[in-house]
Amino acid sequence: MIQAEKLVKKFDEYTALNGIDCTIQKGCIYGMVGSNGAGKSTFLRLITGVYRPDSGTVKVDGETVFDNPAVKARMAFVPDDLYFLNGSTMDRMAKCYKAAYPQFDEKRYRFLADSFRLTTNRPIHTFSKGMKRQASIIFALSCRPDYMFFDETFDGLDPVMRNLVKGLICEDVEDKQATAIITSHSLRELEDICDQLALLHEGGVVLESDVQNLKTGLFKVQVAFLQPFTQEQFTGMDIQHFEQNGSVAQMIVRGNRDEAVARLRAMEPVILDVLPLSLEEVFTYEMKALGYSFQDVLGKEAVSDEKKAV
Amino acid sequence: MKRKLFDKDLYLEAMRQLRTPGIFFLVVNALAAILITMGRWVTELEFVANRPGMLPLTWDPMIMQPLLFTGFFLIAPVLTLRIFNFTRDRKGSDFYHALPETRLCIFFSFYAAVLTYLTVIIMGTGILAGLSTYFYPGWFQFSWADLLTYAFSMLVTSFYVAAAVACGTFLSGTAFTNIAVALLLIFAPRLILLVFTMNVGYACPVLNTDYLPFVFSYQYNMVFGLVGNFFSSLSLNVVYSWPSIWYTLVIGVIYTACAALLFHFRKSEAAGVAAPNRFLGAVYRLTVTFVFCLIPITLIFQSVKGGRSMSSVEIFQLVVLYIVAVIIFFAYELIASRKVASLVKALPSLVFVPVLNVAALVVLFSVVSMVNGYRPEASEISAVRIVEGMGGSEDYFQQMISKADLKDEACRKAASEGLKRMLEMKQSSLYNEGYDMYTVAIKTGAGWKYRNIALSDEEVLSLSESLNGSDIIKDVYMNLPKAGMGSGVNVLTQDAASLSTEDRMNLYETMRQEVQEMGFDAWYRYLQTFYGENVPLDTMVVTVTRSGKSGSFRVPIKPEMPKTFERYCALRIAGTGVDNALAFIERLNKADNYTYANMTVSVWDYTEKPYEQFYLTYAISGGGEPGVFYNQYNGDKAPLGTQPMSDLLKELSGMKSEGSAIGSRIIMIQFNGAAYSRYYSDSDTEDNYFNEDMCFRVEGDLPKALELFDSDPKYREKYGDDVPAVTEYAE
Repeated sequence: MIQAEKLVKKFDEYTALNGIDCTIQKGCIYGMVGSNGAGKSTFLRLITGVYRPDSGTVKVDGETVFDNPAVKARMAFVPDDLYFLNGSTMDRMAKCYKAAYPQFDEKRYRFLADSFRLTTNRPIHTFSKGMKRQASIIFALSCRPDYMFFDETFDGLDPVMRNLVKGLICEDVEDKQATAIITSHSLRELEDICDQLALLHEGGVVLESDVQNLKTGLFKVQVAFLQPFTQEQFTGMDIQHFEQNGSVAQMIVRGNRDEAVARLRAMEPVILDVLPLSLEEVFTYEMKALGYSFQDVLGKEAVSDEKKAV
Repeated sequence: MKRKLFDKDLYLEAMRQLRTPGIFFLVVNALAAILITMGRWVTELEFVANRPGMLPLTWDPMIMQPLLFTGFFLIAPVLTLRIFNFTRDRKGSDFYHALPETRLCIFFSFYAAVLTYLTVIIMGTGILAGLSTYFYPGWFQFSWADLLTYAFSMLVTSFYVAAAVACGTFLSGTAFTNIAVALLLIFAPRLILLVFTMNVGYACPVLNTDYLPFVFSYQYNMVFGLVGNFFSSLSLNVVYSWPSIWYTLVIGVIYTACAALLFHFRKSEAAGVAAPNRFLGAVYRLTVTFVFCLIPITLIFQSVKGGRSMSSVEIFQLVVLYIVAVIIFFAYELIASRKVASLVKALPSLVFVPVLNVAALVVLFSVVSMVNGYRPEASEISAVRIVEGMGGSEDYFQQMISKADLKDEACRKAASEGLKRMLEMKQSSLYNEGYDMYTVAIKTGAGWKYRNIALSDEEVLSLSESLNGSDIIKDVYMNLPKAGMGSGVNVLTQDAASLSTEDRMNLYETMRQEVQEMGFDAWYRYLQTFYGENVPLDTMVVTVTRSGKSGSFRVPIKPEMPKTFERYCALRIAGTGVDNALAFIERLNKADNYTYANMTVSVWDYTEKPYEQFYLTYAISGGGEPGVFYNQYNGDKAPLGTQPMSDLLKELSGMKSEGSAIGSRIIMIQFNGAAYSRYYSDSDTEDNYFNEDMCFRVEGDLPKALELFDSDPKYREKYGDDVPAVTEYAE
């Protein structure tokens, strides 16, 4: 289990993390979204012991991480900015990992390199951006970690590789009860793999929830009546958003879906449709409820990418 | 579980990472070790045929393997910067700090790899240079002890530089600032101290800066000592100085410990930025500027202390120097940060430049005032020691005598008056009025203070009487320190380069015992009359090192100390390669082949009896016409060009009691049935200078040996009846 308490990290006058509290259970795939500068990478670097927190603590299984080789040996970190030794091949890098990670599994390294169809004796600097990312994922997974941290890892991977990597992560989580934290700009990337999602903004977690709850807790209803109606007629329902266009209304409702549908049906609508929400929509309404604008939090660019992807 | 301070796997990984530069430097140094020896051999080869005698060429290890110097100024910085290059790259820094190792473990494992390469390259190629001489048996002569000392000294210096570079690397985050900070760490403290000491010495003639605590001496810092010595005396002999080696090693260990701590506390995010924080950035900038400001500080200080007002030219120079200082201040920031905007941020710290300059001047004036304020009365002085003045500061006996506490009233008064005189009178007046300069140690309270004082003749006399009245002189002269490992006693013989360390120590021990038999008066007289009736056959130079300070005394090797003299000859003969008179004379004969040489020959005879103890001096000097030899003896010139050696030998027979030799010489001594000879020349043949040292052994007495020569059919055949008969020599 990873526990962060009042975690603060500053770079000169800039506060990258401002008192973050969060708990990530063992065997969980934890997604973290946020705009550039939200503090995602800083958070991962604190968990992996790269940075020392200015205040607050981060503990893994009850132990602090910084300068603690025993804990760090159970971790693997794939940063957004990858590092390889100058002019090295994958085999050379594997030697380097083997020297540092006691659990480095050479068999698995060979297996994964074959699966990703990477040439292990070719200099890494000749690899494409995606291949380099694949290589670093292979090294991380070959360390047989209990805790895996992926910072913007899916960026630059093609859909096939993305799915392959996701599959491998899930496999480790299932088989070993490993824990993974994945950061991304893209909610869509995380939607199908994460158990939990957190939204970081200006160094703080503004929203943290179980993905399943997020998806089922909110739903969209489209309803139409022959007679005129107003929002007041739905008093008692937890309506997050209401939009009426003539005799047709769309609303985002929080709560028990069956109960809400039964109540609406009792009002004899001519149309009653319950529509699923995309994770982006869920986030938008949840953030709104918290007083944030989702576009501002995630960054307009990221949201636009999201929409394109959808 | 990984180890906390050192991980073998990580160490091996670092070794792999350093493989390319490490092997490159190793190969270059190894080739140098082999090729320099070979080159010297090839160079000398052409002289061999014409050589009258050849002994191994004496070789300084620094010339045998000069590339060991690259250890500290090239290899150590390159390897250290390379292995810790991740500290300049954010992603690299994050990668290494994410590894499951403690930071200290990463540092020590990586640093150990640097030291391993340094050790292999420096010690390995140093030893290789020595071994490579064995490919040319009989050609080269060098001291393994000196070679290993030199290699170890270079290793220690490289270790110190590697540690300083590591500190610089962890205190900054770019290649430029890494190097700049490392250079500051290596040079700035010592340079600042040196300039301060120099200025205080300038302002206080009463202060003898040679006797300041050892931390004030730049000689101990090997890097600074090498650079300083190179520019001051062009001598690099500091590499053989063990106090310097130990001092540098200690500083290296301290820097290593600092580097380990800095790495431990280093922030990964500091990679790629000039300084980890603004404060340190300002410190580096100001230190660089302050080092330059030592020039104007010195100008101002010496101008004020010299009691003269500055000329308009000097004021202009000062202004220009301070403008340059400001340029350096901003240039450093610009190069370090590569951002023009950072110049504005750096601007406020510029105010510290004048503050530091004023502070430095305040410190200097305060120290001068403190030194000049020390004027104890005789009653306040508890003891006086004469440190310098009666002998050289490096004279062993003087050093030992300087430990004698003189407590009588006359001595204390002389010291007090001499000190005041020195402080109050001008230097020129002191010299004009005939005062003698002495350095004394004055004890008031707990500590000793070393001061230059000016003494009148009467005061000198009272000091001498006080000194002679004490038993210390006899003790010092009669109780010479024992030789042996770790004794701090080093014995050299001026001429006998082939004597081993053990031989020299044995000779010293013989001398030490003989001194006891001679008694103080005879021994003291022997040392005072260095030449006397007999010119010394050689001189033993004894250097005693105690507490980092060395003192020497010279003992002539003459028949007046018969046991030492005999031991010397015996050791020289025993140490001489088996040779014989015939081969010697054959080599002499080969001198005919020197086409551009003059010879000077003379013979000295110590006694009335011919051949009992005599010197044959034979010198060759450059010049002359091709094919013609000149016998330059007492100014006479006689052509010898086509003369056979027998003629020369004939001439020798009439030269038994002559005086001085010119330049180089052959010495032949008949001693206990064996003759010893040494040939040394510094000659010019075909515009090339060479040195050679040839020894041979003659069994039996010299006339007999020559008889061998006489009877050898080979020589008979060659020279016929020209070969001199033994009787010619016996007469």
